Amino acid sequence: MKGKYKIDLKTAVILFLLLVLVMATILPLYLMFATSLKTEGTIFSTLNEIIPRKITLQNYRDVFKSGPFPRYIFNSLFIAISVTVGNLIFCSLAGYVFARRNFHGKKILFLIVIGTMMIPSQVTIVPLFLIMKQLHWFNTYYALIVPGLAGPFGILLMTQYFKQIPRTLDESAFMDGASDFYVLTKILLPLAKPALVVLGVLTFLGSWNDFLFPLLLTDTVEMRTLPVGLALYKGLHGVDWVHLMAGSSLAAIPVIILFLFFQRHIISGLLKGAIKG
Amino acid sequence: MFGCSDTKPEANDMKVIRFWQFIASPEYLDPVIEQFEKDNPHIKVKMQQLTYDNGFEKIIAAIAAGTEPDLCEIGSTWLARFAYEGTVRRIDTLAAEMSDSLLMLDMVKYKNHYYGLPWMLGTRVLFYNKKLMAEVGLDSTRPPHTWKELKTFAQKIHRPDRGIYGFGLTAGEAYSPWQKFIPFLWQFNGSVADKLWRKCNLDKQEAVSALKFYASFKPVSIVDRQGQLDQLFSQGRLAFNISGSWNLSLIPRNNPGLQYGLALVPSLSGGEKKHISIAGGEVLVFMRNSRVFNEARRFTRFLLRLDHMLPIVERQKNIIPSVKRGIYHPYYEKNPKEKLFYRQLLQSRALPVYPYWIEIQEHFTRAIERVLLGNEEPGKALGEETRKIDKILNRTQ
Amino acid sequence: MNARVNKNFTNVLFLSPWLILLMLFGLIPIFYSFYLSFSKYTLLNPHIEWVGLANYLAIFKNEAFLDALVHTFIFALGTIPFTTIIALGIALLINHKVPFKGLFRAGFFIPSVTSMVVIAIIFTYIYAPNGFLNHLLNGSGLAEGLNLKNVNWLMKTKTALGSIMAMNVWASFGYYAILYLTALQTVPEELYEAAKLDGSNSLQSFLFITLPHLKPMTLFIIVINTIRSFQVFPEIYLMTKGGPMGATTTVVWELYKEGFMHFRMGRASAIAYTLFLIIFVLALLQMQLFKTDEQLV
Repeated sequence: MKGKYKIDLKTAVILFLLLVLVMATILPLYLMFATSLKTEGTIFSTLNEIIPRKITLQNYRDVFKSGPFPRYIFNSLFIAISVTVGNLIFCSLAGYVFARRNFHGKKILFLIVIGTMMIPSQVTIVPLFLIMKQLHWFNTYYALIVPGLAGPFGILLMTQYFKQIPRTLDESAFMDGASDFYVLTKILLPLAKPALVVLGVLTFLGSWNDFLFPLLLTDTVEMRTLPVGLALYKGLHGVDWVHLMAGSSLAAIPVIILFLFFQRHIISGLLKGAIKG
Repeated sequence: MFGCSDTKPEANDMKVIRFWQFIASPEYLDPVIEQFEKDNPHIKVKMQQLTYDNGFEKIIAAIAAGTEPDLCEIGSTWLARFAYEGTVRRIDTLAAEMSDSLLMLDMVKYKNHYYGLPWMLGTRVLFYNKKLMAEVGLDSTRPPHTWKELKTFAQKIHRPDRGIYGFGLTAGEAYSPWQKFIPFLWQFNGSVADKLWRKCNLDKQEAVSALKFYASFKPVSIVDRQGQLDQLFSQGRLAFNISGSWNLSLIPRNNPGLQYGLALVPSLSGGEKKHISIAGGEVLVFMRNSRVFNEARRFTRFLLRLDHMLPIVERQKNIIPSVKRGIYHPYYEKNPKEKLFYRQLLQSRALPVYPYWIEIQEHFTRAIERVLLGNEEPGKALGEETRKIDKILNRTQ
Repeated sequence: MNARVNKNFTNVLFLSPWLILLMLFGLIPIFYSFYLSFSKYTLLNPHIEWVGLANYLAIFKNEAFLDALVHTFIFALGTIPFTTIIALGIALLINHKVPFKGLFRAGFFIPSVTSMVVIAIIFTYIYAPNGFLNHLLNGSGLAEGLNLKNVNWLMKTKTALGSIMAMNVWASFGYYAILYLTALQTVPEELYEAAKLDGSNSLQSFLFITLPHLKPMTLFIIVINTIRSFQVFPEIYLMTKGGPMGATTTVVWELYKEGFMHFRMGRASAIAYTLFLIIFVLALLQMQLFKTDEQLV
């Protein structure tokens, strides 16, 4: 939505501030990207090495050839997308109940939602591992997708966002004979677009970067995800810098693209119009 | 006469060995496996390469769930605990059979029994930067032979304000601080504990003197983690670095033009036999619950042949095969740097074998850090940490 | 009557996906590990032995654990305010009418997108004695002024934890800024316009319109941030492993050590549930403190 921008002093100052902050924020990652283009590898320490003198794409080529890299990407994508879609649906459903309904035990259930986030995963991985063994889900997509399909973070976020939407909209719809499902899908969800986008992006991100579970639960190279594949560049003593950075840059790109594509929807402005009277 | 149907070899004859390992890149290990499978058509080897980040947790979780592999590579520091808990099979016969060809069997010996086989070994040698030596007028073909010499040389080179350091001491992580100090301890005739692990000896005179001497290198050194020291050395900013064979692939990657040399770890007095360093490595263990021990044993014999290890060694450069007479192989004539590691290995001592070593090493490292980082008196730091170690030793009395 | 049954049915139906997954993959592991916290169990040996409260008592007598607890509190208290305020500030700035909004949003979010492995490696370099931070300090003259020449930030007991905290703030604020951004969308434009007509300036608008509207999201962010900070682990595992001299140990690091290096899974579980209790109490306190007319529940 490109309106006219008042280029007054205030905007200019803000713009400048933002530029400085963004550059400070991105700098370490720029280092990652710049290193991935080097022919040999240490990360720069002196300022005059910030712009690499010789660049090469060989590292990226190497990374693609090492192991079934495209397969890693496919696995990560498939798993991340599945988990994201699952969360968007199931957390919205649960969020609706927590935000709009009252019933016995609601507070307890909600505390359970929050509570599950407070237990460090290191103690539950072994029992979870045992469960996966019982289910015969080792080395399958199920093991990596199903447990995470309705995460507590998503439920909290959707609950909290739904509560910010006035009930009057629901009520007028109910008076017209609408069902819960209708209210949720046709009224609340469209207004909750920002939350959905954020939930989607953050869930995708969490799944995309997840390392420990895919490591523990996969046994063959074909089932590996990207972070596991990249970890092989870390030897016991010493890291293959240039290749690790190339791989990591590759891993970061899809999420950045995803974000760039969807971020406009975070500022949808629909909600503003709806609250009149 | 044996008239059963003979359409094809029965499926039950096919044995599968599940093999988990960290160190060898599939690129170089797969051909070895393929050859084995060709020679043994009824055996299949399913190899999985683990990552160093959290790979060990995977092994542990598998053991807890009963899904552990048949053959597994573990670091030598873990063997004693696995043996103590009964997780791995006792293989005295196999070890006896291979004792003639394998090095460092002490590494896999716990309470007079053998629980694994050394596979890929490592030790620490002295890396020295020829250019930095020449720049201060030292003869770059004569690396320091004794610790005194090293200190003197390092002092000439040490210019921290310029980012150039003479020597490197390690602190800030779990393994390297004690691994770097223990050669000093041994050269001073000290030990971590008595042979039967009843009492910790780190508070004794030998240990205190050794640590005092070690700490005296501080004015000419930088104190940091081993990885950082290695990076500094490959950047040409560290003159003397005691480190391992992984640098042979790290340095060419980071700085192919670096002029450096390798020498045996210095000794106290300079005799030929006194260049004691520490040896560790990756060992192969047979999990107790495995049903294919015979096949795994066969595979291990295959793996532990020099001609099968050399292709991996050659490409990766960061390991020494555990074979006794490997040093005479023509490969090492052409690769003097790796040969030096081998020479050093033959003079090195295996790290101490004790089930709760991982807990002991915490206190050992802490004592060293208290001296290097906290500037405490060696006697005091060692005394206090020894008491804590004694408590741990009491568990197995 | 029928309506009531219908409503209950919808409740259950809508909650069931989460409930089923929770029971199978959430509660079973939790109950099992809770049981383990009262037992002696070395992962290598299937033998499990009940020991009652012994594990819990042992961890509180353990100096290393207590140190870790202190460090964890310092970590949380030292990062949460900064992360929250910076996130709010950035969100407000981006929400303003400036060109290239999208790029800024993406830029601030990028640290959150990168895996911790990479961030840890890069910051290890930034904090090295001849690393980027020291170069900045030397170059700008600050090093002389503050007497901070070539500090090995991660190797000094006094600066190690702080360095990791700074890295954590850098890596997280974008994440929370995005959340604040969504909340800023729920503030009705008309309120600002009305306030302007009444003669209020931007500061007043901010304090009396924006801030109150952000209260629920602020509570949400603080609770989430607390839960995460108290469980800080990957940074420690990747960068310092609790060192130097135990200056950067945290509760979850101790848990990991007990469970996966010393194989005392019973103790590790006891640590986990102790931590759980602490975080739970803190979260409840925060929710009380932040009492809004729109409760979190």
